[in-house]
Amino acid sequence: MKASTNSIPNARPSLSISAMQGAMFPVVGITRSSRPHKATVATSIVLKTRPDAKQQSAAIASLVKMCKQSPVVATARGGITAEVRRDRDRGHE
Amino acid sequence: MSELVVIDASVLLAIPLPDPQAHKAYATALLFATEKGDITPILTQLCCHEVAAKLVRKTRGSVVSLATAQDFFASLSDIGFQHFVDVRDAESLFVDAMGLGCGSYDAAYIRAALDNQASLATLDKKLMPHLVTSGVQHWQP
Repeated sequence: MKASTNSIPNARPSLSISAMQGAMFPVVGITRSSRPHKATVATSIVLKTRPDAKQQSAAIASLVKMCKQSPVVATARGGITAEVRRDRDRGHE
Repeated sequence: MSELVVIDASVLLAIPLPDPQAHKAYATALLFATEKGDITPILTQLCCHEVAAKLVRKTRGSVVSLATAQDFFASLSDIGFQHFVDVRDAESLFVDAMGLGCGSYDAAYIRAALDNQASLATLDKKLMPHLVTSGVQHWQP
């Protein structure tokens, strides 16, 4: 896999590229934000995968099948989406 | 050109776990759009943590089998996601959430969409008003 990186001007040591050498994916982009009272720092790193088309197609077919076979609830309140929201409101926030 | 779409954990979790039919149809449509190349899905680290945490709990609670959870993750690993790793510090997350007027977890998804000029695929109705406020488009099949 080919990796391309951007430099990070004035980045903190913990955000350096060397920390990414064990990453599973090539680094393809780094987003920076500039704050008026601090040096420009990295805010995110984008890691891009290049999937095999046949494997991706098979994976999607498998996920669609799983989705159709998994239980359906009559009301949203009893579903996983509502549970995720409850976790975010109650557990995380 | 492929549209960038940040994926909320609610969409991925609707695949193996109980949810209304309309939610499952939305998740399926997202999968088909990925296969057709209409979208490039973006996964945040937060999404990965939320999905993993929920499936740990549901597997231990026997809501879903270990084999199903393993199949789910194996399939996800073959999909061409872009992985968006947020490396901001806690203060930055706090300031961003305060500025966006929502919780820090909601803000993390919105920030990922804003920074990537992407839309956001979510089934979470409480997240949707914040998308409008922040100028992020809700992905529709």
